[in-house]
Amino acid sequence: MATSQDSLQDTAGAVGKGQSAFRDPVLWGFLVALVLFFWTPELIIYMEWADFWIIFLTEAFIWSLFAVAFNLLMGYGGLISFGQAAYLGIGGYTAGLLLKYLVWMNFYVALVAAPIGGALAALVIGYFCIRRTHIYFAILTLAFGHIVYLIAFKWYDFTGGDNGLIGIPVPEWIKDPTFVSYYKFVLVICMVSIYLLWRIVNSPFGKTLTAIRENEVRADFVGINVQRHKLYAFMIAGAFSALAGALIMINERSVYPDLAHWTQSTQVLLMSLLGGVYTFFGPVVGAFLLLTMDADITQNYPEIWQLFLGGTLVLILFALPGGIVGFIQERDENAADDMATRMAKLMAQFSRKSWYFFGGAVSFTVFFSILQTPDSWWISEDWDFELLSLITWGILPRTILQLVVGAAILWWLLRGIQSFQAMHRWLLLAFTVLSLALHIYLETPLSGLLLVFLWAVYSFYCLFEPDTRQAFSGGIEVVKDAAQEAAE
Amino acid sequence: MILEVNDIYTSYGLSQILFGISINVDEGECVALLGRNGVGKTTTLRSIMGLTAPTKGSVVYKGNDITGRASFRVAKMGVGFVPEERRIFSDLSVRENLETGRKPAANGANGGKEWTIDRVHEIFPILEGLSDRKGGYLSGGEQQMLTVGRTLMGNPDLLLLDEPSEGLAPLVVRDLSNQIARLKEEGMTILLCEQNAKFATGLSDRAYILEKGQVRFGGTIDELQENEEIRDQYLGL
Amino acid sequence: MVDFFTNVFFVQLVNGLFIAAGIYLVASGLSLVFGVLGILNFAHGSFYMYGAFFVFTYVGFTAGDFWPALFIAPMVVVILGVVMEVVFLRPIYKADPLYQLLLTYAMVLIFGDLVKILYGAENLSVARPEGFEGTVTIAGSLFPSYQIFVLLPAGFLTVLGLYLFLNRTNVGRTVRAATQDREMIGALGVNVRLLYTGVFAIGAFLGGLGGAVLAPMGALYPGMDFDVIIEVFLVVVLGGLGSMAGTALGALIYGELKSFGILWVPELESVFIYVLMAVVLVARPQGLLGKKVEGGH
Ligand SMILES: Nc1ncnc2c1ncn2[C@@H]1O[C@H](COP(=O)(O)OP(=O)(O)O)[C@@H](O)[C@H]1O
Ligand SMILES: [Mg+2]
Repeated sequence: MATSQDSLQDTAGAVGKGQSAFRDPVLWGFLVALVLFFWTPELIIYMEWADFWIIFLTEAFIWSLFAVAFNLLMGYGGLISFGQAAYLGIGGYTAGLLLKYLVWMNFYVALVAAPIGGALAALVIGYFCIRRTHIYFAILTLAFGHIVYLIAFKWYDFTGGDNGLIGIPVPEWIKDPTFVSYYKFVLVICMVSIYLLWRIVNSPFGKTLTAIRENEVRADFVGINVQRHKLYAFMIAGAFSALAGALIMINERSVYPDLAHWTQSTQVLLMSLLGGVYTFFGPVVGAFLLLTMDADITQNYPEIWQLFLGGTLVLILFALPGGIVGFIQERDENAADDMATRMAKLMAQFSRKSWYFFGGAVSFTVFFSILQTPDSWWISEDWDFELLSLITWGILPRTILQLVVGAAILWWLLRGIQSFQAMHRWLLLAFTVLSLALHIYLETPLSGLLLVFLWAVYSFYCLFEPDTRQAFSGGIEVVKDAAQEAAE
Repeated sequence: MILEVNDIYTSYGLSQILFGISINVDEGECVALLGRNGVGKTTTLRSIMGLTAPTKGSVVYKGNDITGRASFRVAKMGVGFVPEERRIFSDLSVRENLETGRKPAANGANGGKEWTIDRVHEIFPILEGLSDRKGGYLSGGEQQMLTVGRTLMGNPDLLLLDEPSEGLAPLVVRDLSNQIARLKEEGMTILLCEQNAKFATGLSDRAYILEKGQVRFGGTIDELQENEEIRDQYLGL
Repeated sequence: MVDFFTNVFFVQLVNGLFIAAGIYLVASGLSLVFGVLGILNFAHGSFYMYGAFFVFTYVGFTAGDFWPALFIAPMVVVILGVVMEVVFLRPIYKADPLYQLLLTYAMVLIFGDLVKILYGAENLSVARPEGFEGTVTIAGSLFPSYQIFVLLPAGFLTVLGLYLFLNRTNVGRTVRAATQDREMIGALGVNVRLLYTGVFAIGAFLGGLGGAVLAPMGALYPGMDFDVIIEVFLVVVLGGLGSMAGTALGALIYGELKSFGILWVPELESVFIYVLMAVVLVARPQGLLGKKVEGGH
């Protein structure tokens, strides 16, 4: 996740030059993540909520795949599909119908049929959608997405209509009551698929797609077949989305028209935007974050879920157009700057962003406190007030404490960071980790935790990368002007 | 002095185009703004008009500071802008194009002589027969006359003309030249941007020469005619 | 036998006109806003939904007084629309169109849940006004009198009103000019911001009016915004985005196709319109009456 821009480019170069895939650090990253997540169930199986987490992770991986596939269109192709859930539905129904109606159908064949079905549907629909501008693309993807939903919803004889297809036969091993085997199955498929997508976006095809996004007219001018590239991208996205749809279907052993509903398209759109559309792994972060928020909010306040999504979307558009991962990676470096200036700028930027994170973490706590204990402004109603136990305090005192004390400490730490005090680097990292601990202790919902976690990761990433490490230990002469300039 | 541009700096995003332009125009004068393609003439007019706000410096019109004011306010104060590529409304008829430009004179000026469609026809007789034709179907010269006429309908006190002769046949340019001369006789103040120095000098009292976003020469037409060096260097005559 | 067929034909034809009138009321606002502002307003369906729900509120408050609601409900929608335009759209007119799309899409989500919070998730209904509950007989066939005496005239008057407004008034002329060159119209002394807000308000009014007129004809439910925006999109793609005449033509085709399609395949009548749309997209990508080049946006 914290892959730096540089290594992205390095890898792209390496892949482009056709060197062995095993020298690709991203591949190693994938393998390490695969191994770690593969054995995660064994680690947490004795925990109280093990089932919940395993199911959660299963869904999160499926949605990550869906989001990355979607983002191939949006981030790399500049095409926003407002009806991507159609392919989720097509995948689910393709595999589901095959398994349900053809007794001899092999499970794996059905699973492979899903992406093929998705690609074919995308070929037909895409043929009409890519013909004109972005606005037409938006309208048409939405409209065609809706017709897919309508067909699933209304064609009772074939799709079962709104009763859905239920009791779809799957192999015995999937029915494992601990959910572990299916989790592992999904994990491997999603990791491999996402890696394939990674190779695709870094292939010449991916570069061409980006070139088209940047300037369609110019791409056309240098002889790129723009329409065909867009169509291919649409098909690839359709295929992988359909695969994700089939995985969801197998997970539930049933499939309903809701899988193709436009609200699902909204979710995947938001995942990409939240994580960052111009980054490859952003949508994965977005998927995890949105699903945690979903778990937080939908359970307790389903009536405001769309409102929350809409509000988040507006916020991202106005305040965070690069998404979270884009925000972490973004660096305004000038190649001409010397080391000291560069470092000073980096730290100025780091300070500014830390404040955003801090603000985000505080508002998350407040937002969810208000939702969960709406009236306990001064004193928490659920607990007897104890001076030493923060959790028994009301919303306002807790927030004020968090704001004032937290801001004072953060300000002091960041000042030290900007003048390269080696000690402050460690203290700041400790501070972010402590905030994480505090949020766990205060029972901030998962989404808040994830945000603070990202902050801790970001701090580590910024302060402990080789260059900055050297800057702190080597003692760089502070370049005040540059720092101030960058801060402006 | 009707217009005073004081040391303005203007940029489009990151690319800085004007570097301290100062010009001024007196009531009833015709002033030419000369220079090759891309030196910043259009940008100067856009800065005056409030279409692209200057980052530094000021624009003073009739004693009011109008720097960076919204273009419709500048227009309402009596500045008429005739853009470079005509920019007529191609789906509207000629009459409708003229009507869109109609607005009352600022503080009832203009000697009580309001511009009407008839008066525009007097100056550009060719437009009269074309009243119902769509703007998009006019020739270049007709479009140019239409765009000047459209701006006149707003009863301006100062006319900013951006390369009216561009892309027109010599005969049409001559007509246009007569028509602009007539406007000037009627007392219109004109700031005329041109690459075609011959066309502009024939009409103007004074001239400025721009190069790379700076004023390199300012003086009367006679001074310009005498100064061969300047003419060679910046106008490529 | 022949009689029977002509009869069915006539009934479906008129039913098609009903559908067309209803969808035109909504689609015209979207098309107008797109033509002038260059923004495809996803939230237009929300305006329609709010128009309908506000009628419900008004009729509830006044115990059955329907007619004033046809004006008051859309006016309240206009307030919503103006707030949306001033707060959210103004800052992004110069941004990437994709941003604008996403922003109006976000508004759909927000408006959608607000309706749920305000009115609950249950279906609601508005009674037809007094004197229009029954049917009338025309050429031997029965038609609901509300559709004949309210919906059809409303649709027809909107077509006529918009035509006259755009072609015969000064403001309308300026609006048409603004669709072609926004900056130029500003340099001629027109306050473009105000014009945009005005046009957006008219669009919102038309959306709200559509909802208000259609309110007594069906259930009101959260989610009707989305259902209608899909239909509106089909209509404008058929007719040509931003072309007012195209929108009217698209609505007519949409209405008739749907009306006759129901005879054929009652469950999947909407498929026809998709097939037609696909054909149009291949043969004439800009829509039936759309312009070749896509505006200056
Ligand atoms: N919208 C714009 N964005 C960026 N650069 C521009 C824009 N318009 C003009 N320029 C640049 O500004 C410079 C001056 O342009 P302009 O004022 O139009 O010159 P002139 O009218 O003298 O030919 C040119 O180099 C041109 O490329
Ligand atoms: Mg120019």
